[in-house]
Amino acid sequence: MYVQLLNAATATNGAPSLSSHGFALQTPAASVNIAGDKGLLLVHSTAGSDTMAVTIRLWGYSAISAAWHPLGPGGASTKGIINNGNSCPETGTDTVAHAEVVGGLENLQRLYAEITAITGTDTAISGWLVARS
Amino acid sequence: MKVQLLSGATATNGAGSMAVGSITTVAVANLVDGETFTLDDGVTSSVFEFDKTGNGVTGGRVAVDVSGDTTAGDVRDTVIAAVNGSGLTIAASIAGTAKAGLKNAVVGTVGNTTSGDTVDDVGFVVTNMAGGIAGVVLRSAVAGVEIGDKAELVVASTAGSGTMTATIRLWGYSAVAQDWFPLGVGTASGKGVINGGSALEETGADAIAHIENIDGLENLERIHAEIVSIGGTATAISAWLVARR
Repeated sequence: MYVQLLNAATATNGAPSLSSHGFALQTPAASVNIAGDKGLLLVHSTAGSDTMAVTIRLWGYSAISAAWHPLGPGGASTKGIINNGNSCPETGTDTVAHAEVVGGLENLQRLYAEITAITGTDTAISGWLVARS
Repeated sequence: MKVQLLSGATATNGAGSMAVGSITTVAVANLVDGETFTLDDGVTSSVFEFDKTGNGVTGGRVAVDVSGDTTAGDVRDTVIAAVNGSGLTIAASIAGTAKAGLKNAVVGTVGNTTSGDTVDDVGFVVTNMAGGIAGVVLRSAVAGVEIGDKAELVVASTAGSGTMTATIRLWGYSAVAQDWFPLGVGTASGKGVINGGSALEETGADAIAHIENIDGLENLERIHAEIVSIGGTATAISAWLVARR
């Protein structure tokens, strides 16, 4: 079971503001049912060259607070940034690949991956949350 | 329940990777109508023919209609479209001003194949598809393997002397993303490297022993232990992933 958070994204996409932003973790009509508390966040490049890197902030939407929250502690600039607050650099020639376990999902309704920075030339990034249904 | 990731390995063994390659393109003026390049996805081999005049290509070949192109960048984009529309499991993408990156979507060594071309211009280069890693499957009813979400990575030297070290990066394959990922956070050099990103050092005279919990395996299908570097004399390393059945 998975939701695709980014599909060959090539630019920053801003923080989420509306409750409709991002992707629902449970949408029976779409056969999406991420019911567990944790999942595996996968990020990789689908195109690009030069010195590629991407910085991604993960946001969760809570119906209780009716607000989006960057996931995890930290200073304002790094809160919610995956890879311990760092950019995801190249892991091979013209390749970015990152995997990270994300917890605390069962109390969130939606997830949003914000690209806060992307470098390189024609860099394109895709991302998924893969989890048990 | 265990799967063996390394068996007396004595050398570096490559990163977790799909089979990849590239095509460096040239301007249309440097191509001759009818020149070709060939790609093989491990099951099917396809011949791609450049069509400079828009009058079609030889039957059975994939047309690369560059009749409306001028620059090497134009040709790159047309090549990418042709490869992606060919039905091969190889995906092409932009990898430079005049370069298309190629990646096989099928995991394993099957995608490591020989490419070719008949283009006279030396600037046009098609590399072989290489680097595809099979890794070890985490779940297989046939093989009786069923690794859950957590496991213990056990690493031990089986031979060696001198000042022995081993740096090991753990990669996981996701069928969802159709790609390999270094497991865990960190910098480019440390990402996925076990032991907190540091080399395994001797834990006794001429002996390396290491054990570490690995999490998040249930959403991966395969695993690969890359020996990034290995030090000492005739150092041999074995590794297993051990989990409760």
